[in-house]
Amino acid sequence: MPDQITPRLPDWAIDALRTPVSSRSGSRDRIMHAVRGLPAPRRLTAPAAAVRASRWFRRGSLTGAGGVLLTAVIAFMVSIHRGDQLAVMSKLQTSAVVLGDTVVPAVGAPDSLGARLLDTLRIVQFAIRGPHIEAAEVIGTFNGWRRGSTMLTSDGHDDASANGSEWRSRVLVPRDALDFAFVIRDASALSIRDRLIPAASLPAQN
Amino acid sequence: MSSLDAIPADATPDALSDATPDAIIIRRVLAGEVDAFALIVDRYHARCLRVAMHVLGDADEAEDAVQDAFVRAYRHLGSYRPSDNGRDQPAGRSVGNFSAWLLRIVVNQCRTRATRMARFIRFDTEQSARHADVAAASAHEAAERRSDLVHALALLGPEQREAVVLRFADELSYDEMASITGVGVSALKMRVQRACTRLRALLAEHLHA
Repeated sequence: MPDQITPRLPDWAIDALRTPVSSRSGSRDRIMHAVRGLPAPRRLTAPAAAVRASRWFRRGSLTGAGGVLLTAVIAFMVSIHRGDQLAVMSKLQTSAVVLGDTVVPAVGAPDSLGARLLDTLRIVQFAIRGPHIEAAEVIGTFNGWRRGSTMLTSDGHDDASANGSEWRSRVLVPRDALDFAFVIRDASALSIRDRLIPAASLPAQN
Repeated sequence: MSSLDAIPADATPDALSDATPDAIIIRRVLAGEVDAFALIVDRYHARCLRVAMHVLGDADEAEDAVQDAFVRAYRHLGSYRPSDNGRDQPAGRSVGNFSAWLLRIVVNQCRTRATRMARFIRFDTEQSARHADVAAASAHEAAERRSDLVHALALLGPEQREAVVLRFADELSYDEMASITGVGVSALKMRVQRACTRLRALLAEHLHA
Protein backbone atom coordinates (compact mmCIF):
# COMPACT_ATOMS: atom_id res chain seq x y z
CA MET A 1 0.00 0.00 0.00
CA PRO A 2 1.55 3.34 -1.00
CA ASP A 3 2.58 5.73 1.73
CA GLN A 4 0.40 8.50 0.27
CA ILE A 5 -2.72 6.82 1.57
CA THR A 6 -1.25 5.78 4.89
CA PRO A 7 -4.09 6.29 7.34
CA ARG A 8 -3.60 8.91 10.01
CA LEU A 9 -5.38 10.02 13.11
CA PRO A 10 -5.38 13.55 14.51
CA ASP A 11 -2.27 14.25 16.56
CA TRP A 12 -4.26 14.80 19.72
CA ALA A 13 -5.89 11.38 19.29
CA ILE A 14 -2.53 9.68 18.82
CA ASP A 15 -1.21 11.49 21.89
CA ALA A 16 -4.22 10.33 23.88
CA LEU A 17 -3.66 6.75 22.76
CA ARG A 18 0.01 6.91 23.73
CA THR A 19 -0.61 8.45 27.12
CA PRO A 20 0.36 6.09 29.94
CA VAL A 21 -2.50 4.41 31.75
CA SER A 22 -2.54 4.40 35.52
CA SER A 23 -2.48 0.97 37.08
CA ARG A 24 -3.85 -0.33 40.35
CA SER A 25 -1.46 -0.13 43.24
CA GLY A 26 0.42 -3.34 43.88
CA SER A 27 0.02 -4.73 40.38
CA ARG A 28 3.69 -5.67 40.22
CA ASP A 29 3.58 -7.33 43.63
CA ARG A 30 0.50 -9.34 42.68
CA ILE A 31 2.17 -10.58 39.52
CA MET A 32 5.36 -11.51 41.37
CA HIS A 33 3.34 -13.20 44.11
CA ALA A 34 1.54 -15.31 41.50
CA VAL A 35 4.81 -16.06 39.73
CA ARG A 36 6.56 -17.19 42.91
CA GLY A 37 3.83 -19.76 43.46
CA LEU A 38 4.58 -21.41 40.14
CA PRO A 39 7.22 -24.00 39.38
CA ALA A 40 10.37 -22.52 37.85
CA PRO A 41 10.22 -22.42 34.06
CA ARG A 42 12.58 -24.74 32.28
CA ARG A 43 14.30 -24.27 28.99
CA LEU A 44 12.61 -26.54 26.48
CA THR A 45 14.87 -28.51 24.25
CA ALA A 46 13.73 -29.84 20.92
CA PRO A 47 15.51 -30.99 17.81
CA ALA A 48 16.48 -28.08 15.61
CA ALA A 49 14.41 -29.46 12.74
CA ALA A 50 11.30 -29.57 14.91
CA VAL A 51 11.86 -25.99 16.07
CA ARG A 52 12.35 -24.82 12.50
CA ALA A 53 9.24 -26.65 11.32
CA SER A 54 7.28 -25.16 14.21
CA ARG A 55 8.36 -21.66 13.16
CA TRP A 56 7.30 -22.35 9.60
CA PHE A 57 3.92 -23.47 10.80
CA ARG A 58 3.47 -20.42 13.02
CA ARG A 59 4.50 -18.03 10.29
CA GLY A 60 2.17 -19.73 7.87
CA SER A 61 4.98 -20.23 5.37
CA LEU A 62 4.75 -24.02 5.49
CA THR A 63 1.71 -24.52 3.33
CA GLY A 64 0.63 -26.44 0.28
CA ALA A 65 3.33 -28.62 -1.21
CA GLY A 66 5.70 -27.98 1.70
CA GLY A 67 3.19 -29.30 4.20
CA VAL A 68 2.35 -32.30 2.06
CA LEU A 69 6.04 -33.07 1.56
CA LEU A 70 6.83 -32.77 5.25
CA THR A 71 3.86 -34.95 6.16
CA ALA A 72 4.92 -37.55 3.61
CA VAL A 73 8.49 -37.60 4.93
CA ILE A 74 7.31 -37.96 8.53
CA ALA A 75 4.83 -40.69 7.55
CA PHE A 76 7.56 -42.51 5.62
CA MET A 77 9.97 -42.38 8.55
CA VAL A 78 7.29 -43.51 10.98
CA SER A 79 6.30 -46.40 8.73
CA ILE A 80 9.93 -47.52 8.41
CA HIS A 81 10.40 -47.37 12.16
CA ARG A 82 7.09 -49.11 12.79
CA GLY A 83 7.80 -51.82 10.21
CA ASP A 84 11.21 -52.46 11.71
CA GLN A 85 9.67 -52.75 15.17
CA LEU A 86 6.96 -55.13 13.97
CA ALA A 87 9.56 -57.29 12.19
CA VAL A 88 11.53 -57.68 15.40
CA MET A 89 8.43 -58.27 17.53
CA SER A 90 7.21 -61.00 15.19
CA LYS A 91 10.32 -63.03 16.10
CA LEU A 92 9.84 -62.63 19.83
CA GLN A 93 7.73 -64.60 22.26
CA THR A 94 6.89 -63.01 25.57
CA SER A 95 5.15 -64.41 28.62
CA ALA A 96 4.31 -63.37 32.15
CA VAL A 97 3.06 -66.22 34.30
CA VAL A 98 1.68 -65.64 37.78
CA LEU A 99 3.13 -68.52 39.79
CA GLY A 100 1.33 -67.73 43.04
CA ASP A 101 0.95 -65.41 46.01
CA THR A 102 3.38 -64.76 48.78
CA VAL A 103 3.01 -62.92 52.04
CA VAL A 104 5.82 -60.73 53.31
CA PRO A 105 5.96 -58.19 56.17
CA ALA A 106 5.13 -54.75 54.94
CA VAL A 107 8.04 -52.33 54.79
CA GLY A 108 8.07 -50.10 57.87
CA ALA A 109 5.64 -52.19 59.87
CA PRO A 110 5.85 -51.11 63.53
CA ASP A 111 7.04 -54.38 65.05
CA SER A 112 7.31 -52.79 68.50
CA LEU A 113 3.56 -52.51 68.68
CA GLY A 114 3.23 -56.10 67.74
CA ALA A 115 1.37 -55.12 64.67
CA ARG A 116 1.45 -57.59 61.87
CA LEU A 117 0.75 -55.61 58.78
CA LEU A 118 1.04 -57.80 55.79
CA ASP A 119 1.20 -56.99 52.15
CA THR A 120 0.40 -59.55 49.54
CA LEU A 121 2.66 -59.84 46.53
CA ARG A 122 2.49 -62.10 43.54
CA ILE A 123 5.33 -64.16 42.15
CA VAL A 124 5.46 -63.54 38.44
CA GLN A 125 7.84 -65.16 35.99
CA PHE A 126 8.63 -62.87 33.10
CA ALA A 127 10.17 -64.46 30.05
CA ILE A 128 11.08 -63.39 26.56
CA ARG A 129 12.44 -65.62 23.82
CA GLY A 130 13.95 -64.59 20.55
CA PRO A 131 17.08 -64.41 18.44
CA HIS A 132 19.87 -61.86 18.68
CA ILE A 133 19.02 -60.72 22.21
CA GLU A 134 22.11 -59.55 24.05
CA ALA A 135 20.36 -58.45 27.23
CA ALA A 136 16.82 -58.17 28.48
CA GLU A 137 15.01 -56.57 31.35
CA VAL A 138 11.47 -55.90 32.42
CA ILE A 139 10.07 -52.56 33.46
CA GLY A 140 6.63 -51.73 34.74
CA THR A 141 4.56 -50.10 37.40
CA PHE A 142 6.05 -52.48 39.98
CA ASN A 143 9.50 -50.90 39.59
CA GLY A 144 8.42 -47.44 38.54
CA TRP A 145 9.37 -48.08 34.90
CA ARG A 146 13.01 -47.70 35.92
CA ARG A 147 15.60 -49.20 33.66
CA GLY A 148 18.22 -51.49 35.14
CA SER A 149 16.32 -52.59 38.23
CA THR A 150 14.94 -55.94 37.01
CA MET A 151 17.29 -57.69 34.62
CA LEU A 152 16.39 -61.03 33.05
CA THR A 153 18.89 -63.85 32.86
CA SER A 154 19.54 -66.02 29.87
CA ASP A 155 19.33 -69.80 29.71
CA GLY A 156 22.66 -69.69 27.93
CA HIS A 157 21.51 -71.48 24.80
CA ASP A 158 21.80 -68.76 22.22
CA ASP A 159 22.55 -70.96 19.24
CA ALA A 160 21.42 -68.35 16.72
CA SER A 161 18.63 -70.69 15.70
CA ALA A 162 15.17 -69.51 14.85
CA ASN A 163 14.11 -69.63 18.51
CA GLY A 164 17.23 -68.03 19.92
CA SER A 165 17.70 -67.75 23.64
CA GLU A 166 15.23 -67.41 26.47
CA TRP A 167 15.59 -64.73 29.09
CA ARG A 168 13.57 -64.92 32.28
CA SER A 169 13.30 -63.82 35.87
CA ARG A 170 10.97 -64.31 38.81
CA VAL A 171 9.84 -61.08 40.37
CA LEU A 172 7.69 -60.16 43.36
CA VAL A 173 5.00 -57.88 42.00
CA PRO A 174 2.36 -55.99 44.01
CA ARG A 175 -1.15 -57.08 43.17
CA ASP A 176 -2.10 -53.71 41.75
CA ALA A 177 0.96 -53.42 39.48
CA LEU A 178 -0.37 -54.78 36.24
CA ASP A 179 1.37 -52.93 33.43
CA PHE A 180 4.82 -53.89 32.23
CA ALA A 181 7.01 -54.11 29.13
CA PHE A 182 10.27 -55.70 28.12
CA VAL A 183 13.39 -53.88 27.02
CA ILE A 184 15.85 -55.89 24.98
CA ARG A 185 19.25 -55.12 23.54
CA ASP A 186 18.74 -56.16 19.95
CA ALA A 187 21.80 -57.20 17.98
CA SER A 188 19.99 -58.22 14.81
CA ALA A 189 21.05 -55.11 12.91
CA LEU A 190 24.53 -53.77 12.31
CA SER A 191 24.24 -51.47 15.29
CA ILE A 192 23.08 -52.80 18.63
CA ARG A 193 20.10 -50.88 19.94
CA ASP A 194 17.63 -51.06 22.78
CA ARG A 195 14.05 -51.84 21.87
CA LEU A 196 10.92 -51.49 23.93
CA ILE A 197 8.69 -54.54 23.55
CA PRO A 198 5.19 -53.88 24.86
CA ALA A 199 3.29 -56.70 26.49
CA ALA A 200 -0.25 -57.34 27.66
CA SER A 201 -1.04 -56.37 31.24
CA LEU A 202 -1.01 -58.95 34.01
CA PRO A 203 -4.41 -60.37 34.94
CA ALA A 204 -6.00 -58.61 37.90
CA GLN A 205 -6.95 -61.98 39.45
CA ASN A 206 -4.86 -65.13 39.59
CA MET B 1 21.55 -22.48 18.74
CA SER B 2 19.32 -19.65 19.86
CA SER B 3 20.71 -16.34 21.05
CA LEU B 4 19.73 -17.28 24.60
CA ASP B 5 22.04 -20.26 24.45
CA ALA B 6 24.78 -18.09 23.05
CA ILE B 7 25.02 -16.13 26.27
CA PRO B 8 27.26 -17.92 28.76
CA ALA B 9 25.94 -18.01 32.29
CA ASP B 10 29.10 -16.48 33.73
CA ALA B 11 28.88 -13.58 31.27
CA THR B 12 25.82 -12.19 32.96
CA PRO B 13 26.53 -9.50 35.53
CA ASP B 14 25.53 -10.22 39.09
CA ALA B 15 23.55 -7.01 39.41
CA LEU B 16 20.71 -6.63 36.97
CA SER B 17 19.69 -3.14 36.03
CA ASP B 18 17.20 -1.37 33.83
CA ALA B 19 19.73 -1.46 31.03
CA THR B 20 20.19 -5.22 31.15
CA PRO B 21 19.06 -6.81 27.89
CA ASP B 22 15.97 -8.97 28.00
CA ALA B 23 17.88 -12.06 26.91
CA ILE B 24 20.14 -11.94 29.97
CA ILE B 25 17.23 -11.41 32.34
CA ILE B 26 15.36 -14.32 30.79
CA ARG B 27 18.41 -16.50 31.10
CA ARG B 28 18.68 -15.65 34.77
CA VAL B 29 14.98 -16.43 35.31
CA LEU B 30 15.39 -19.76 33.56
CA ALA B 31 18.37 -20.45 35.80
CA GLY B 32 16.02 -20.22 38.78
CA GLU B 33 16.31 -16.55 39.71
CA VAL B 34 12.62 -15.76 39.99
CA ASP B 35 13.12 -12.21 41.25
CA ALA B 36 14.77 -11.27 37.97
CA PHE B 37 11.33 -11.55 36.39
CA ALA B 38 10.36 -8.41 38.30
CA LEU B 39 12.58 -6.46 35.92
CA ILE B 40 10.58 -7.81 33.00
CA VAL B 41 7.38 -6.80 34.75
CA ASP B 42 8.70 -3.31 35.47
CA ARG B 43 9.89 -2.92 31.93
CA TYR B 44 6.75 -3.96 30.08
CA HIS B 45 3.83 -3.64 32.48
CA ALA B 46 2.84 -0.09 31.57
CA ARG B 47 3.05 -0.78 27.87
CA CYS B 48 1.02 -3.98 28.08
CA LEU B 49 -1.54 -2.30 30.29
CA ARG B 50 -1.97 0.58 27.84
CA VAL B 51 -2.63 -1.83 24.99
CA ALA B 52 -5.00 -3.96 27.06
CA MET B 53 -6.79 -0.91 28.36
CA HIS B 54 -7.50 0.48 24.90
CA VAL B 55 -8.46 -2.91 23.49
CA LEU B 56 -10.72 -3.99 26.34
CA GLY B 57 -11.96 -0.60 27.47
CA ASP B 58 -12.21 -1.73 31.08
CA ALA B 59 -9.49 -0.95 33.60
CA ASP B 60 -10.14 -3.95 35.84
CA GLU B 61 -10.33 -6.36 32.93
CA ALA B 62 -7.18 -4.86 31.45
CA GLU B 63 -5.30 -5.24 34.75
CA ASP B 64 -6.40 -8.85 35.06
CA ALA B 65 -5.55 -9.60 31.43
CA VAL B 66 -2.06 -8.15 31.84
CA GLN B 67 -1.50 -10.05 35.09
CA ASP B 68 -2.61 -13.30 33.46
CA ALA B 69 -0.39 -12.54 30.49
CA PHE B 70 2.70 -12.06 32.67
CA VAL B 71 1.97 -15.24 34.61
CA ARG B 72 1.47 -17.10 31.37
CA ALA B 73 4.67 -15.64 29.96
CA TYR B 74 6.55 -16.80 33.04
CA ARG B 75 5.14 -20.31 32.81
CA HIS B 76 6.06 -20.62 29.17
CA LEU B 77 9.31 -18.69 29.33
CA GLY B 78 11.17 -21.88 28.50
CA SER B 79 9.54 -22.00 25.10
CA TYR B 80 10.54 -18.43 24.19
CA ARG B 81 13.19 -18.37 21.51
CA PRO B 82 14.38 -15.19 19.90
CA SER B 83 14.67 -15.43 16.16
CA ASP B 84 18.15 -15.53 14.75
CA ASN B 85 18.07 -12.02 13.33
CA GLY B 86 16.34 -10.47 16.30
CA ARG B 87 17.88 -8.10 18.77
CA ASP B 88 16.62 -7.47 22.25
CA GLN B 89 17.06 -3.85 23.08
CA PRO B 90 18.59 -2.88 26.42
CA ALA B 91 16.07 -0.15 26.96
CA GLY B 92 13.23 -2.52 26.27
CA ARG B 93 11.14 0.15 24.62
CA SER B 94 11.63 -0.72 21.00
CA VAL B 95 9.99 -3.84 19.69
CA GLY B 96 12.46 -6.62 20.23
CA ASN B 97 11.65 -10.27 20.05
CA PHE B 98 10.64 -10.64 23.64
CA SER B 99 8.32 -7.64 23.70
CA ALA B 100 6.60 -8.90 20.56
CA TRP B 101 6.28 -12.35 22.15
CA LEU B 102 4.86 -10.82 25.32
CA LEU B 103 2.48 -8.54 23.43
CA ARG B 104 1.20 -11.55 21.52
CA ILE B 105 0.28 -13.16 24.83
CA VAL B 106 -1.36 -9.95 26.02
CA VAL B 107 -3.39 -9.63 22.83
CA ASN B 108 -4.49 -13.25 23.09
CA GLN B 109 -5.51 -12.73 26.70
CA CYS B 110 -7.51 -9.67 25.68
CA ARG B 111 -9.23 -11.59 22.92
CA THR B 112 -10.11 -14.41 25.28
CA ARG B 113 -11.48 -12.09 27.92
CA ALA B 114 -13.39 -10.00 25.43
CA THR B 115 -14.98 -13.05 23.89
CA ARG B 116 -15.82 -14.66 27.20
CA MET B 117 -17.32 -11.62 28.84
CA ALA B 118 -18.66 -9.93 25.72
CA ARG B 119 -16.79 -6.80 26.67
CA PHE B 120 -16.72 -5.57 23.15
CA ILE B 121 -20.46 -5.13 23.32
CA ARG B 122 -20.70 -3.78 26.85
CA PHE B 123 -17.78 -1.43 26.44
CA ASP B 124 -17.45 0.61 29.62
CA THR B 125 -16.58 3.92 28.08
CA GLU B 126 -16.98 6.00 31.22
CA GLN B 127 -14.60 3.88 33.22
CA SER B 128 -12.20 3.73 30.32
CA ALA B 129 -12.16 7.49 30.04
CA ARG B 130 -11.74 7.81 33.78
CA HIS B 131 -8.60 5.71 33.74
CA ALA B 132 -7.06 7.23 30.64
CA ASP B 133 -5.05 9.68 32.68
CA VAL B 134 -3.34 12.35 30.73
CA ALA B 135 -0.58 14.39 32.22
CA ALA B 136 -2.42 17.58 31.44
CA ALA B 137 -5.81 16.25 32.33
CA SER B 138 -6.86 19.46 33.93
CA ALA B 139 -7.89 21.02 30.65
CA HIS B 140 -11.58 20.47 30.18
CA GLU B 141 -11.38 20.40 26.41
CA ALA B 142 -8.64 17.78 26.40
CA ALA B 143 -10.68 15.64 28.74
CA GLU B 144 -13.69 15.99 26.49
CA ARG B 145 -11.63 14.97 23.47
CA ARG B 146 -10.28 12.00 25.31
CA SER B 147 -13.74 10.92 26.32
CA ASP B 148 -14.93 11.23 22.72
CA LEU B 149 -11.98 9.17 21.55
CA VAL B 150 -12.83 6.41 23.99
CA HIS B 151 -16.45 6.47 22.85
CA ALA B 152 -15.33 6.36 19.23
CA LEU B 153 -13.00 3.43 19.90
CA ALA B 154 -15.89 1.64 21.55
CA LEU B 155 -17.88 1.91 18.36
CA LEU B 156 -15.20 0.15 16.33
CA GLY B 157 -15.23 -3.59 15.83
CA PRO B 158 -12.82 -5.57 17.99
CA GLU B 159 -10.46 -6.34 15.13
CA GLN B 160 -10.28 -2.72 13.97
CA ARG B 161 -9.83 -1.49 17.54
CA GLU B 162 -7.02 -3.96 18.16
CA ALA B 163 -5.29 -2.96 14.93
CA VAL B 164 -5.55 0.78 15.51
CA VAL B 165 -4.37 0.48 19.11
CA LEU B 166 -1.30 -1.54 18.16
CA ARG B 167 -0.56 0.78 15.28
CA PHE B 168 -0.90 4.12 17.04
CA ALA B 169 -0.82 3.47 20.79
CA ASP B 170 2.15 1.13 20.59
CA GLU B 171 3.77 2.58 17.46
CA LEU B 172 4.29 -0.80 15.87
CA SER B 173 5.09 -1.43 12.25
CA TYR B 174 2.75 -3.59 10.23
CA ASP B 175 5.26 -6.44 10.21
CA GLU B 176 5.45 -6.34 13.98
CA MET B 177 1.68 -6.20 14.23
CA ALA B 178 1.44 -9.20 11.92
CA SER B 179 3.79 -11.23 14.10
CA ILE B 180 1.80 -10.30 17.20
CA THR B 181 -1.71 -10.78 15.89
CA GLY B 182 -1.13 -13.56 13.38
CA VAL B 183 -2.99 -11.52 10.77
CA GLY B 184 -1.52 -10.68 7.37
CA VAL B 185 0.00 -7.27 6.70
CA SER B 186 -2.51 -6.43 3.98
CA ALA B 187 -5.45 -7.25 6.20
CA LEU B 188 -3.98 -5.17 9.01
CA LYS B 189 -3.46 -2.18 6.71
CA MET B 190 -7.05 -2.46 5.60
CA ARG B 191 -8.30 -2.67 9.17
CA VAL B 192 -6.25 0.35 10.26
CA GLN B 193 -7.38 2.36 7.27
CA ARG B 194 -11.03 1.58 7.86
CA ALA B 195 -10.67 2.23 11.57
CA CYS B 196 -9.05 5.60 10.87
CA THR B 197 -11.76 6.55 8.43
CA ARG B 198 -14.41 5.66 10.96
CA LEU B 199 -12.64 7.40 13.82
CA ARG B 200 -12.11 10.56 11.80
CA ALA B 201 -15.79 10.61 10.98
CA LEU B 202 -16.76 10.07 14.59
CA LEU B 203 -14.30 12.70 15.83
CA ALA B 204 -15.00 15.20 13.06
CA GLU B 205 -15.90 18.00 15.44
CA HIS B 206 -12.45 17.82 17.07
CA LEU B 207 -10.37 17.47 13.93
CA HIS B 208 -9.73 21.16 13.58
CA ALA B 209 -9.33 21.86 17.24
